[in-house]
Amino acid sequence: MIEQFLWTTKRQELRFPVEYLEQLIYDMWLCGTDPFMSYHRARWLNQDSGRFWTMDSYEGEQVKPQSLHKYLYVGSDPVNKSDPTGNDVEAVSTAVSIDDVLAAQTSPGAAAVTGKLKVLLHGGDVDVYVWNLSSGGIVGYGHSVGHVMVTKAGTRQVLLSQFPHKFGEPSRPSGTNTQLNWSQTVTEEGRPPTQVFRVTLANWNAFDAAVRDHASRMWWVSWPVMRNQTHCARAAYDALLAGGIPLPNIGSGAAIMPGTLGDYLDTASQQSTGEARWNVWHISTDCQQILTGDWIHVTLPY
Amino acid sequence: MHKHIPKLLRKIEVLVALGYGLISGATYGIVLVTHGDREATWVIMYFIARPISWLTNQVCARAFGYLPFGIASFLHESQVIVAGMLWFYALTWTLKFAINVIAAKVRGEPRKRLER
Repeated sequence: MIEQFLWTTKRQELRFPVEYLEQLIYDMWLCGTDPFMSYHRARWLNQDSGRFWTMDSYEGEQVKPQSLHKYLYVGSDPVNKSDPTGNDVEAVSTAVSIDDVLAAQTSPGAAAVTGKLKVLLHGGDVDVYVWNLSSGGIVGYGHSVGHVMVTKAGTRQVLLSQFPHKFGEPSRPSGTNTQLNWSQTVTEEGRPPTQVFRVTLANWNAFDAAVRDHASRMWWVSWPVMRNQTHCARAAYDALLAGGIPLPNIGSGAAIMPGTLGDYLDTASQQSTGEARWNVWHISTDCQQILTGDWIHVTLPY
Repeated sequence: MHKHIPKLLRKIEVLVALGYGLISGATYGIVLVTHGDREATWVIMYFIARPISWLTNQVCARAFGYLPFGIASFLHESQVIVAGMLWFYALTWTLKFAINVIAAKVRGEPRKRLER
């Protein structure tokens, strides 16, 4: 519902703290929209009752009696399970749950709202951090050609952050494919990301398969050519494309720079309707704000 | 006048290519010494030398997994410099050819074979 409200407003940059967000939710409620209903791709979920509004299109499995229930959310076990598609249940890893709890706790007084907004705004999707080429130059320590990192939305759980070297080593144009964690990536870049996008994926399974494919490749090469080679931006591009985000087709043998991927996502954010099965929108480039959710920074697509 | 200079080095396109190789090699060396961004340097040189660097990269990037990493990595990094030298050689040769053709037309001379 928040998505629909935002997407139908004129293009403007909104920065508001949680108190204002609470007010926004209250206003929405006054206007007759229920902000605590979240769209889970296939169905609307009522967060308060834990039940879907419409029947499950998935018939369920005889060996899992709770999956036969047509309205129940994750078989009444939301602590250990999630249902991002609205049709089937998947287990939530402990790491994600703890991250979410910690992220909410670092924002005193806002945990309840933040928790709900996370579901309302992305339903468990991904954040794409884009660092463009730094303008400082190429000589001397501390400059970066740019980078792309993909995380579970609002958490430190890195899905893709591929480097050709270990943490702390100088950059090089080729090497063994190494995935750094959130803190290492942010430290390695040494500056805030140029753009951060929150992305709702239309096809999580295809996205996940592409992520696993690129994370398991042997080599990191500036301009990958072979199937066993990857690159930070190319990995993110392939995964997002597989996930149903309408990015321009660059062909299988081409590389892509982080800034170009940022431009593509920017264009996609302007095509987001809020009604489609996918969505892309700008969020704050302040890494701590992304995690704590104290501020939500949204650039509207119109 | 310059009889002591080898005939090959009297060609402007060879000098330009060698000059580019010297400058790009020195830049790479400085970036290495200062722990600068080798990847950014590689990418910039790659784009300067396109489309030849695209071809050389298609060959050199395939070396990973077949040759020892040190050799494959050296090939992958140095190919952009070599590709740039070839690219500047081709550019200068084309420019020189075009200037000769235009100059001949302006002077009204019949088109003649270029001096080697």
